[in-house]
Amino acid sequence: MLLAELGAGALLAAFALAGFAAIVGLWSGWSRQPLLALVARRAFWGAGAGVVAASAALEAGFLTHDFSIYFVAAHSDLRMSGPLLAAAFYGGQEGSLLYWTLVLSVIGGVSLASAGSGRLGAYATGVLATIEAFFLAVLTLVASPFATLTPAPADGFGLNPLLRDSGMLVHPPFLLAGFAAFGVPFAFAIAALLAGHADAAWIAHTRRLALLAWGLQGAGLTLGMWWAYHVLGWGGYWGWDPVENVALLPWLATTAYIHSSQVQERRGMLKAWNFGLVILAFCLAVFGTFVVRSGIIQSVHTFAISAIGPWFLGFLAVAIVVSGALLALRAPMLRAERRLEAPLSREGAFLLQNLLFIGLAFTVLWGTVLPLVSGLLEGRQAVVGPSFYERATGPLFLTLLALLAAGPLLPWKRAGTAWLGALRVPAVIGLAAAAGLLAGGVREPLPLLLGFVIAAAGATSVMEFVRGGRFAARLPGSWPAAAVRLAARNRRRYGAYLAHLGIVVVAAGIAGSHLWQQERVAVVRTGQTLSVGRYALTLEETSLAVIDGNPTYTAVLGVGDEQLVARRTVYPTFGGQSATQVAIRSTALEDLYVVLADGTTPGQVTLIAFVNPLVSWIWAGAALLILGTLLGSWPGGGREPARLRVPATLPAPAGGAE
Amino acid sequence: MTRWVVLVGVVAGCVGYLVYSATGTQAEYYRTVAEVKGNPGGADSRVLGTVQNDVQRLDGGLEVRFTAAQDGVNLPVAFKGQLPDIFRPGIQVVVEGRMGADGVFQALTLLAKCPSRFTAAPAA
Repeated sequence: MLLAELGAGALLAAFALAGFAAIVGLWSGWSRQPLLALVARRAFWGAGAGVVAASAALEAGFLTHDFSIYFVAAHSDLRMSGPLLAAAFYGGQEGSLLYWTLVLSVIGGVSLASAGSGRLGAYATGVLATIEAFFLAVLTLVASPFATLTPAPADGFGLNPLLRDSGMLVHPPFLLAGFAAFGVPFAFAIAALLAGHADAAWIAHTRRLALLAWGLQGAGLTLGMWWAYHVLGWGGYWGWDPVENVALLPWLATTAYIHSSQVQERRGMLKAWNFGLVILAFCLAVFGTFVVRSGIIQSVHTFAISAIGPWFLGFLAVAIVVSGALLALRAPMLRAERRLEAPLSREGAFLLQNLLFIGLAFTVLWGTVLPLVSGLLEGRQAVVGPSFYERATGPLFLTLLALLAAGPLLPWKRAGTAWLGALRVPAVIGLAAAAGLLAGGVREPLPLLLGFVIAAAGATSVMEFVRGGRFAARLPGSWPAAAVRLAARNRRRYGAYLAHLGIVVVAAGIAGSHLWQQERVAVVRTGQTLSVGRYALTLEETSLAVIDGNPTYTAVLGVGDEQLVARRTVYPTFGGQSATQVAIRSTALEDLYVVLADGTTPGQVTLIAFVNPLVSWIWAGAALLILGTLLGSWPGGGREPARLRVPATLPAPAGGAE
Repeated sequence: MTRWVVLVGVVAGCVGYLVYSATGTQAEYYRTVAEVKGNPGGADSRVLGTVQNDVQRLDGGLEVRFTAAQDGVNLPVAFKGQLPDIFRPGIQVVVEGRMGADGVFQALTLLAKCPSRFTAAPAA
C-alpha cells in the first residue's frame, strides 16, 4: 500500500511540475527571458525525477510481490522471478504508458541540457513538458498504474504465457522507447518554428535525436520480428497486422527525414518538408498508440481497450492543428535558398527516395485504416490482408532498392556522363547475381529482378568501403589504423553506408524467405519420417511431462545425426491456452523450423515443418543497420560531413561541393 | 519548381494507382454470421465469431470443426491447417472463406484474437 501511495504521489507531483514547466517554458520563449527558461528546464527535470520515482515504486511493487497494487496483481504472480518479473512492468497498458513517459523524460531531459537557454531551448522545454504533462494527466486521471486492491489477493494472475519469453525482455522496451523518443525531435521542430529559427542549427540538433528514435524503433521492430518468428511458431516474422503497421509508420516517415535533412544541410532546400516529416513521425506515433489502445481496428493483438483512446485522439488532433498552423504561419521563412538544378542529382535522388517512403507510409496507413474508412463511407467494413500489402508496396520497395544502387553514386547538383560510368560496377555485379540465379535453375522474372537489384545495391554500398580503404592505404601510418581513423572521422558517411549494406542484407533475407519458403504438415508416429526440402525428419520419441503444473509435450526428432527438440506446453490457468516451443536449426543459408502442432498425443504428433531460406540474413542485416546507426550518430568525429576529404564518389562538376 | 511538381505528381500517381488496384482486388468485407448463412456460395468473406464449446479435432489436429457464434446466431465452421496457439472455446476468431453447400463454412484462414489484456482469465 505504501508503494502505491508513493508512486501515485510522485506521479501527481510530476504532473504539477510538468504543467508548470510547460507554461513557464512557452512564456519564456515568447517573452525572451532566459532566466525563466532555466526555471522551466529545472521544473522539467524535477518532473522527470518524479516519473523516475514512480517507476521505481512500481518496479519495487513487482519485485516485492505487492499485490495490493492492482497492476502488479494483474500482471505477475508469486512463481515469477528474476528478469521476467521485472519486465512485467510494461506487460500491461498502465505500465507501458509509465515507461513511455519515463523514456520521454530521460531523453528529453538529456537533450535539453545542451539546448541552451535561448528561445529554441525555452520553447523546446515548453513543448516537451506539454507532451509529458499530457501523459502524466492520462496516468493520474484515466489509467493509473497505482490503483489499489483491498483486500490484497494472496497471489496475482500471472503473465500471459505468450509473454513468458526472453523476447519480452527486449522487444517492448525498444519499441515503446522508439515511440516515446519521436516526441523529442518533434519538440525541437515545433520550438524552431515558434522561435523562427529555420536555419541549419535545428537540423543539427534534431538529426541525432531523430536518428536515436529511428534506431530504437528499428531495433524494436526487428526484435518483434525475431520474437514472432522464434516464439509464435507460424514460420513467419511479419503479418501486416494493424499493430505492426502502426509501429512501422513513424519509422518510415523518419527514414525519409534522415535523408532529406541532408538536402537542407547541403543545399538549403526542402525546409518546410523536413519540418513536416518530423511532425508527421510524431503524429503517426501518437496515432499508433491511439489505434493500439482504443481497439478501434480489429487486430490479432488485442491490448486493453480502455478509456484512453479518446484522450489520444484529442491529443493527436491538437498536435496536427497546432503544427499545421505553425507551418503555415512560418511558410515565408521556409523558402528554399536554391532551386533544384537537375532531377538527375543527389538531391533529386533524395527527393524520389522521400516520395517513395511517404508513398509506402501512405499505403500502409491506408490498408490499416481501410476498415474505418469503408465502415464510415459504405456502412460495412472492408479489410485487406498481406496480399494487399505485397501488391501495393512491392513495386515501391523494388524501386527503393534500385535507388539504393544508383542514388549514392549521384553527385550533388547535377550528374554528368561520369555517373553512367560509375554505374558499371553495380550493374555488372547485379547481372552476375541474376546469371547465378538463372544457372541455379531460377526462371521466374521476380526473383531474377530482385537478385539483380539487391546485388547491385550491395555492390554500391561495398564500393564505398573499397574506395575508402584504397584512400586509407595512401595515408601515412599503418593501413588498418589509417582506415579506422578515416572511418572515425567520417562517421556519418561510413555509418550511412554500413546501414545501407544492412538494409540490402535484410532485403535479401526477406526476398529469400518469401520466395522460397517450403512447408509440410503431417501426422507422424514414432519411427516415421517426414521430409521437407532436403531434410528428412524422423520422430525418435515423444513424451509428456508436467512442468510447474503445466503439461508439456516433447517430440525428439532426428535430422541426419543431429537431434531437434520441439515442445508444446498447455497452461490450464489460462483456460487451456497452449504455447509452442519451436525447434529451429539455423544455418547461414536456411532455417529448418519445426512446430509441434495442437492435437498431439503420446506416440503420435502433428508436425508442421518449414524450410525458411535466408532468414538469418534478416537478423544479421538488422545488426549491421544498428551498428551503422550507432556509428553515424556517435558524438564527435568530423563536425560536418566529410571533414577529411575522401574524393567524392565522382568528381563534382566545376564549382564543386564547398 | 515545375520539375519538383512533375516528380511529385508522377510518384503520387503511381502510388495512388498501386493502392487503388490492390484495394480493388484484395479487399474483403466483414460479414455477419447471419449474412453468411443467408447466402451460401458467393464470394470469399470474413466473419468474426466466438468459438463455442463444441470443438472437434480430426486427423491428428490438422482439421478442426467448431461452431462460431455472433449475436446469438451459430455458424458451423471447418478449418484445415495450423491452429493458432491460443485457439480454444471462448476466444474470438476471424475466419476467412466461403459457405459450403452443406451449410458448413469452409475457412481458408483462421486468425485468433489474442486474449484481451494479455492477462489470465478469472479462475473458473
